[in-house]
Amino acid sequence: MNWTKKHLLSIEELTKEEIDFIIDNAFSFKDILLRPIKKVPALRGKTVVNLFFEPSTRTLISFSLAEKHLSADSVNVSTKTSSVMKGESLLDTAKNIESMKTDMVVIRHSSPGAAKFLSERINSNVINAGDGTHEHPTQALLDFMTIKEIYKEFKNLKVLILGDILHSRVARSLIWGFSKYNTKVTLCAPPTLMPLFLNDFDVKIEYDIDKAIQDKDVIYILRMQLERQEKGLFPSLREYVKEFSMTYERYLKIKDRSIIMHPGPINRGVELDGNVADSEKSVILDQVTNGVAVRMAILYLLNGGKNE
Amino acid sequence: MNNLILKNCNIVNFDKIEKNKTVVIKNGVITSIENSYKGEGIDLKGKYLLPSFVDLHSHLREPGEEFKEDIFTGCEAALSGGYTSIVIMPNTKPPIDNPQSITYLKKRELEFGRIEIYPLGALTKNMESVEITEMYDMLKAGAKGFSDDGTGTKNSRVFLNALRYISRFDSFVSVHCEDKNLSEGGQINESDVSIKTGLSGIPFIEEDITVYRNLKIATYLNTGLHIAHISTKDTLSLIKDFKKKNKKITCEVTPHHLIFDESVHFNYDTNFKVKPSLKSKKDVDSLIKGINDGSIDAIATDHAPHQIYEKEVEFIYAPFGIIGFETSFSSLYTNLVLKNKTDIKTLVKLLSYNPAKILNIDERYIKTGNFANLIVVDLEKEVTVDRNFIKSKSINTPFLNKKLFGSIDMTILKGKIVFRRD
Repeated sequence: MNWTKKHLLSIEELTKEEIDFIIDNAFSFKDILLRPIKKVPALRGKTVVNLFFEPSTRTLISFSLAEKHLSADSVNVSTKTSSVMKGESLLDTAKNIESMKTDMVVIRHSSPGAAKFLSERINSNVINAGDGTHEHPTQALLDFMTIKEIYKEFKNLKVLILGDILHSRVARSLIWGFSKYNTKVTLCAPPTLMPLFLNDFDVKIEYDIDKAIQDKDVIYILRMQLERQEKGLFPSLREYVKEFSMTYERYLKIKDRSIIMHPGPINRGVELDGNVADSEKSVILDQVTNGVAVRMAILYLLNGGKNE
Repeated sequence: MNNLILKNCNIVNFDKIEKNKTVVIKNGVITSIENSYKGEGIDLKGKYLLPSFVDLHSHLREPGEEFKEDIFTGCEAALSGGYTSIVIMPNTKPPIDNPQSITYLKKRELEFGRIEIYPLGALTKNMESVEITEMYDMLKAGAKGFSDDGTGTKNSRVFLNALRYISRFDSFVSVHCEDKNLSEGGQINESDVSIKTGLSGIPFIEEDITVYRNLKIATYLNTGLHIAHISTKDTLSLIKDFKKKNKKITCEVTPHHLIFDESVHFNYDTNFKVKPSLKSKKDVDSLIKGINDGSIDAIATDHAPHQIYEKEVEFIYAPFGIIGFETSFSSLYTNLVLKNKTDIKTLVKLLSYNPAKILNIDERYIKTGNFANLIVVDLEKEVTVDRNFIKSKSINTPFLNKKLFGSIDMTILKGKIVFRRD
């Protein structure tokens, strides 16, 4: 197929074929990653700005490495507070950066719609590296790649997404993606961390984790943010761990072929036991490796899919 | 002399339309309405003559935020939308919570000289819901009534006392009904749209929970109360119930809550970010039913100017509110009347006749003996809502660069032409 999209803003807007196409490309780039010399000239002479308005280690490094492997010139702009707080608007920041003749902008921002906002106002290709509680498309794509590496097919899989669904952009991107493959998705979280209006999505809700983890092929655990407790959404970590954490005891009951996934960074002892994270069924570090490959594929495709 | 003759127009009152009339105005008053008139006069060529509009809810931002709007630009905007009487809300910076501030606004009204401004004072000092304001003195200075608009009076005891204190006067009390604990941090209505966009949701029940408290208190005291900008089906049905017990309860809806539902948020356009939030299609349908069956008393703009650089930001950082004076009639005419969801008489009733009655000001009815507070409307003419069309300092409207039918060609206050579209 031919790639036609200028930006990568969400999984929602991608077709199943486009997702497959990105993943196919990502597998080729993974081969390059595994070589001793990892550099290809695909983006030589192109300038990429990684504009991160939220703290991030993994995603930023992953994008930076992907850009370097493709021979792009890249700069990182990281700021803890949004530029609005400093008196400059996102629009001004972006226009200034673009005036320096950039080709692509990777943006991570706390406001839903921030990537779309930029894409409508600047000429560069825009890649959404997480916009508030909306979507995190590159994360979902690397997750799909990881699942495909193990299971080949999505259709007959049973997937569990466990944790703070309500505030998770990763969960939204995953749900959109799985819905395109008709994969059976179960969600498990305390009701205060579960969206109220899921009628449009074909997902099953299960509040009993011990039932939820049975016969699942993929158990996807989300990061638990401690500020949710301060906001009164759950009473204590102690109770959360008791009811909703992937403890080692629960791990022993999951299917033999099941895999444990997590978008990182993990809170050992909170949403999952440290031993589970390090267990043989855990593919958490494979996800990280595939993240670089997927991001190389996206940068490559948005640039026109040609070597310069 | 101050005479004006408007020939060949179609008169629209809330209860009837009369074709091919001539309206004769002397010294600001309609002296006769004639079928065939031979003398000189302005030929309106079959355009429509409506009683001028009365807005129960607007924000002119002065004092304090004159970069968004000031009394003069706000009044020009109002006149261009057909409004000759406007209620202005006290949540300026600082709030209008003392008689001196009311005096200042009345002075500004005189300086402008072409519109009637009805300022509301705050119910509580600094709108903090702790101590009640000098309401007697504010009424003396020219306040039309009171409101803690923008926040609402959180403390129920304080709200009860405030209503009780002014119950002896015939004043207009407008309440903004929002449960801040439920709405805090929320961007749009909580629904499948908030889930899909990732914009944090506000449970819609926060509105009728607060409306219930306020109606209960007013009914307990047997006083009147006006519920501002309602947005849900549940709120409307609650108000209907209370109206059976308390005849002095009234309510308003904004044009945008009658035209848009929450599905517009998929584009993250901050010109749809309003409070109360836009609701479901089901709610919109019930509000339209409410304007047609008389359970909603008035349509008010909630004209809320914000500068483009405040709105042209990430959704979560944009302030709530949109302007409304300029597009109120045309947007309703285009989106409701032309789609057969209501008729023009109903618009006249809710934009003009009823709000005047609620405020107890000059009757908005075109007949001999009444003040000539009128507008001339060309229903066939299309206007483009661009920077030139918008008289406000701000252009934060979802109708920006859109075309609307129903041009307000002329606005007349007591026989004087106070606005004319080129």
